[in-house]
Amino acid sequence: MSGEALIEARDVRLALESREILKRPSLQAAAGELIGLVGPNGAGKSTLLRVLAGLLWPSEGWVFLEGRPMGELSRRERSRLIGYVPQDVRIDFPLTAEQVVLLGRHPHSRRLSTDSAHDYALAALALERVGMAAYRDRKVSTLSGGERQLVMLARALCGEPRVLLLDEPVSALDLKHQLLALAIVRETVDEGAAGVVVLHDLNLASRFCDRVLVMHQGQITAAGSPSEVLRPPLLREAYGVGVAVRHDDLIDRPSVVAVRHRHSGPVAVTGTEATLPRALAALFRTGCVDVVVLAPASSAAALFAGELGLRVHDPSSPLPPDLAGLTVVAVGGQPVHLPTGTGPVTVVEGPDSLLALLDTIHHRPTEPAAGAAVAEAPAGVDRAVVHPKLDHSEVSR
Amino acid sequence: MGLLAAVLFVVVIIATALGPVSIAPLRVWNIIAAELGLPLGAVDSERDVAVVMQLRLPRILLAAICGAALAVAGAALQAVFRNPLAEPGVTGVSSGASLGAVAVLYWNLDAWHPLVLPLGAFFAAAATVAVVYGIAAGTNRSSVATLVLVGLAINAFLSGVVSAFVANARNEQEIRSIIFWLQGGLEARTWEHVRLALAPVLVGVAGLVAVGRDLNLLLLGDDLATSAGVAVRPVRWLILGLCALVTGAAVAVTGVISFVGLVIPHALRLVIGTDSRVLLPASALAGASFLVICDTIARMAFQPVTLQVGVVTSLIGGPLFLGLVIRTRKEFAL
Repeated sequence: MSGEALIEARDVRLALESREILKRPSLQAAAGELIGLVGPNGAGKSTLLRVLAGLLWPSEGWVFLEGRPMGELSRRERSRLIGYVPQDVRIDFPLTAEQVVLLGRHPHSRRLSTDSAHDYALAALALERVGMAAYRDRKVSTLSGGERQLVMLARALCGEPRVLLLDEPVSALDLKHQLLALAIVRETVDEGAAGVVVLHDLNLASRFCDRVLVMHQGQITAAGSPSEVLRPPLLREAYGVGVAVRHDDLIDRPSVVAVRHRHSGPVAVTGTEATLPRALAALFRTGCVDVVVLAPASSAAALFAGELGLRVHDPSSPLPPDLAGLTVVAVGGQPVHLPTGTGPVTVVEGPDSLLALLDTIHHRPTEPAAGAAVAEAPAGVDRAVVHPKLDHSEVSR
Repeated sequence: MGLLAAVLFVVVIIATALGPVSIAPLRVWNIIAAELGLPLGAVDSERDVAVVMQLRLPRILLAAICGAALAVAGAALQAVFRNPLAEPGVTGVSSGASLGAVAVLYWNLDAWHPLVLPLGAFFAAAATVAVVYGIAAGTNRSSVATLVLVGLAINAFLSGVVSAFVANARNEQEIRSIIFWLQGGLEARTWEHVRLALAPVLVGVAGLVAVGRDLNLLLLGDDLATSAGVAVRPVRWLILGLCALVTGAAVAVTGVISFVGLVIPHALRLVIGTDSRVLLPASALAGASFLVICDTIARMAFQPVTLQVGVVTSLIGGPLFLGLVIRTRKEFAL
């Protein structure tokens, strides 16, 4: 991180209506640094942003602005430093785009003073930057959601803030304007501001942010560069959905795709030393991480599985109670050794047929099978084989 | 703004000229100028001087003061509630003020000091606005309809209380003074009334104009206003208090006159836009002209019968209010 943090939240706690929204997350952004705050709905991202903006006061913890406790700064000092863009602004009154942007100059103007030529110039410049110059005299109440977002961004820029706090600033924007808006934010940050931006689009976070913070249930569960943070197990845990992460050469950053939730509940995967690592790599790539790998401890496959963050179980010991009755998928051939207490076993040929099969499994909690029933499965994805523990109702996708 | 001021001036002069005794506008101006110590021309007729200075001018100036007060309060309430239907009459603030004034009359408190009347109206208006705001903010703030419904209930309740006061009046004289006052309008208003209303209205209007930019920011919502450095809660209560002050002062001398706060700000927004720093002073000037014109219509339309000025504003404001309801219905799904 370069230099001292311009804005920092340290161990902030906040409860609203007796629900604890923020469970001591910490965040800091230095000059020239753009932080992407991501996480599922209801994780507390907007609340944390509002705490940073001084709109909510945490019951515990600290917020620092330019190294000084937030409470020591006057309302006016705070408003001059911070440019805040809330998620959705409803304006029913026919203020024009220019008037709204000019209000961004409020922290810099005196009571009863009229807007100066300088203010007008900055407002025109801000509207120009976001590509809304032609909308200057349009009433904001008649603008589309995306156009309004651009005007609100222009409003924040017009105040020449040192800290930009943006709550989903591109949620209503088309592809072109998403890039435009975030490029402007990036530019402003590169000129010496600090930025915290809440984003739902992980690829935009990956592309524009220096650091990404994953927020989940009121806590920061991961923080680091995009390539450190945007990893399947981590995202899967936060979002509860499979994700595939690839390196995108075009932007030289990781890119994330959510994939269908392939199966619910764990499935045991096993196979031969030759087939298993490739199958695991395929699973990992597609975000299928809710599997238990049955492989002898210290085998190559077990080490690889551990590296990928998958759960490993040594088949020589019996399955723990929480895994009892687990459906087993064997890749590339019948496993030599199965632990006691597993459920039915299906054999598939390779990674592709494994993924296809997992698509069809809707795991339900099963009673521990009395002795492992071994199904005779032909090679490949032969769905004609109906196993009592496999639900084939959705096979024909 | 200059245009509106000029219009107001001309309207006041012409309104003073009109009446059962017709006096040329230029003569009116001469008489007023002479009273102000600027003898511009010969003022011969004692009768004309008396008509202008004793009968018409106080009434017309009072109409101007109250029109300004109500229009500014309407514009400010609309911004602070973020609701285009807000207005002293609709929200029940005027009824609150009138209850305060009736209570003062009932217990003869104005015998102590004439200022007790507007003060009573102010405190009751302030209490009403606090209740209305508390309920409207406590429920769904985004609903335009909530505020109108709350206002409806408050109006009904307060007029019930006022009726109870009237029914319990101790003697004929008291009933007459309450009824006379309740009927509102600008009948037989004197310089005394002008003096009562002028200072609080001037203070209130000036105060509201001074927080014009904060009002603009409040239109963007509490979060943006706060992040722009507005102390939202104190400023909001200050604005509501000033609205109660000007409404209370107006109601204390004229009774409830509805819809001025609705008609004027909406008409002006179409022409000069929503910037409160311009809209509030413009509303004051236009509201003053509007009420003087309405009062003149009330005096002149069915001569020798005079209407209540509130009847005229209701005839103009009622349809406009309905139009607004229909328009906002589309936008807000009432």
